[in-house]
Amino acid sequence: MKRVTFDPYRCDLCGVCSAACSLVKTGKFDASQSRIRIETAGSRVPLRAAVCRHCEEPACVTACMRGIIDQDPQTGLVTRRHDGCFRCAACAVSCPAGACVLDEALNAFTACDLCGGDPLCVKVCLTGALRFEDDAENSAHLRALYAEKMFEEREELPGELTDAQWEEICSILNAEGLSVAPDELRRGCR
Amino acid sequence: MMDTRTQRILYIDTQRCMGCRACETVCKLENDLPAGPRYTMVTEVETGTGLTEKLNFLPVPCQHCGDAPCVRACPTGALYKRADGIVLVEQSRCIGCHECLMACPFGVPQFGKNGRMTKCTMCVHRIDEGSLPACAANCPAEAILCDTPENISRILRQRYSGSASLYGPFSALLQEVAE
Repeated sequence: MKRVTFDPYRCDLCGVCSAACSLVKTGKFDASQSRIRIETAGSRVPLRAAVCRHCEEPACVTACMRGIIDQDPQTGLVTRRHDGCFRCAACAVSCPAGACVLDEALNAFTACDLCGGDPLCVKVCLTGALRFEDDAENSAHLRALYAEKMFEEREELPGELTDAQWEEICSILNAEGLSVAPDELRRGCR
Repeated sequence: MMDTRTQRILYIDTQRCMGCRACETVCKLENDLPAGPRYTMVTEVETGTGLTEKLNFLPVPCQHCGDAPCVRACPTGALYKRADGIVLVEQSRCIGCHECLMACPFGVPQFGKNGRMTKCTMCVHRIDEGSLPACAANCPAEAILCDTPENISRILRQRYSGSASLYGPFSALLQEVAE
């Protein structure tokens, strides 16, 4: 199945993924409510993305004592029913990716649901650090990156987002029915 | 635990690799792999422009790192380093969380139909029999070397010392012919 994958070499820590995720899931900018968080080494080096991996044998499904986390036997997607969660944090503790988030509005633990198969975080990531791809594609991409490094042919790394790119992100969000001004988005990303 | 000075590693002599993909094919046959997982994969990188333009090839098998990030990342302990340094996976303990793939700088971890992690074993069954891994044994250009770093260094010095600047990768061959 396809998953949200992360390429730390291309991430410029702009924070658009977390801002867009919290906006579409909770209606406001709040990085702590985002289902995807970029973890860093120190403050400026992107390391990994904490986002639900939709494991083959999910620890959270086993850990949940209310039995409200399910795995679709066909697609492998891990889904949650939020009513009945008593916030024991067993899923958050057992998750290998650190992907569980305590949603304040739902008053329940939740995680990435891949936006129903078309993740918004991937769409708004203009640097190409986040991708929605399967294992084979991700592995081939990582191997190509390593080979480029070996032959010193790595492509130019993206710098700060330009004004045009901020507007492009806003137009992507508008197409999703979320009207945001570029200035508002910039503030939300900080 | 052995460290990377004394353990066997797979080394790719990129000056010799010509991108024939014999290693990929023989790896699939040796390990009986279905469509999907690739224990090794030849990647292509274009360098230079004009007269210096060149297509380079780099097969990427598991590097069997000394302090392997995948072993550190695995939450269930399914990945481990054997006493002789080979990184192996115990599939029954794998939960398919993909943390190893996120941690590996080389994109080595593969996932089969069952969603469990599988990877290059340095042909552990052949190593135990005392022979070379399938990719190293079948590389027509002898570009894949499987030995201790010390021995690999010795082979490379034999290949590229002396007339290296004049004849490049063929110096050793020319020397053999001359003898």
